[in-house]
Amino acid sequence: MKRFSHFWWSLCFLFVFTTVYGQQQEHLIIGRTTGELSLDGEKVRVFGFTNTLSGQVTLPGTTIDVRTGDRVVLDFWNISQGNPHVIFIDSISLERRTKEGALAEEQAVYHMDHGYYHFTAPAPGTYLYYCSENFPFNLQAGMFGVMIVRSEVPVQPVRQELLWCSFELDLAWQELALLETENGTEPNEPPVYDPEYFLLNGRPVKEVETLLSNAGESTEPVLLRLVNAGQWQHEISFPAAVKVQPVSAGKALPRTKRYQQLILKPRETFELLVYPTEGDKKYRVKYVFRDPVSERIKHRAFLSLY
Amino acid sequence: MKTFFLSIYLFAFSCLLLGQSTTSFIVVGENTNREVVAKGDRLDISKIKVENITKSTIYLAWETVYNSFPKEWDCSMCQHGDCQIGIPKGSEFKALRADQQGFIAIHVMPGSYSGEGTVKFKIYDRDHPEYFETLTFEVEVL
Repeated sequence: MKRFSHFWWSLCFLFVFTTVYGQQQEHLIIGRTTGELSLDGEKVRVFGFTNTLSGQVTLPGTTIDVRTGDRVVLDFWNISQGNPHVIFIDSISLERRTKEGALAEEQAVYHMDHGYYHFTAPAPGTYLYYCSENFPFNLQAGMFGVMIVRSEVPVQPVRQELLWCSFELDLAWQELALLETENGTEPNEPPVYDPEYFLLNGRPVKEVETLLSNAGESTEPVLLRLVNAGQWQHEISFPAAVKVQPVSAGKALPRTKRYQQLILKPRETFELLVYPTEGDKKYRVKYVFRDPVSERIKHRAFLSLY
Repeated sequence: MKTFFLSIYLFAFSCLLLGQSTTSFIVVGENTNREVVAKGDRLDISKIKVENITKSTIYLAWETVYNSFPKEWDCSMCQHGDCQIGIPKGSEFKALRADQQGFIAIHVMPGSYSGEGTVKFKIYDRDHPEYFETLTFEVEVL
């Protein structure tokens, strides 16, 4: 009888384990090269990843939201003519398979083809996925999105979760991405990267007015997922009076008397807990876009925190 | 006799004129596609091809002249050279070289909405808009 009950307990555990943990998640990602972004009253053509046929491209593209340990299948449907595209995530090995599950011969996906990328969701965190073909032009043209991997049990209760994805856009590089995609023309010597637009979640960073909603009575922090999808170094400075805490232990932000600063290198991500401030004092966050070669600041914006 | 030769001359001249104003492209196969999709499934692609029958490059333009797809369906289309987001009012093909084929294609993700719909595209040579073809896509979701 005891053995019998052990058997049933094991069976129950297996059932719960397989249904709760390690589920297969399929996500549709549609590759586009004819998106449009409205910037300063101008229509700018961008590439991107969507999950609908009629939805406009957004920067970042469609978000993949999974739990650690999930078996994930990205169904990448390339609806863009010309050269092929691919899905790539730094530090994660994606295996391209056919719809039937056999290993595919190449990673790249041609026009009107589907590429099924299989992987197991890694440690909780925020990841940038992007097209690594014709690197970095397709990424620069907008072919990127964010993957959020959640832990089984929330580590810290938060009242709000936000994504701040910063990015720059150089229209000359955009043109090169188009040439390569449509005509197969690879640039010999790309021009010096000199972006005209500096964006936060697809909007010019200067147009973003308030970053966080009012905390009200809540004392719980806001979880910020910060992503640098651009080519330059992005520096985000929080006022020293605002309590911020990196999610990963041992990653404290360097502090000065006035600021605590986070430096994000290209394609780097970071998670930060921002606690509500006391009183009505307005605090501003400084966003800086710095050319890592010349080390010159090209763009700077101050944004209201609450 | 004089009248006879004049008639022949006029006939030949008319043929020449007609020849110039007739088509620079043809539809390859049928100009109507009928598709049936299961609810929850998707129509990856339905394509109708056209071919340049001249000895020079032509530029084809198209317009959506009819669209009765249910608004719940998520759909888009591609023309030779570019894929559009959704189904816009119209656009142009990339240059079509002599004897080259081009196409118009649609993609539909109906989700859980069954029903039927038709979309029609008028397609014509930008330089000879008087001649056109109508490409029709009829989709039924069961």
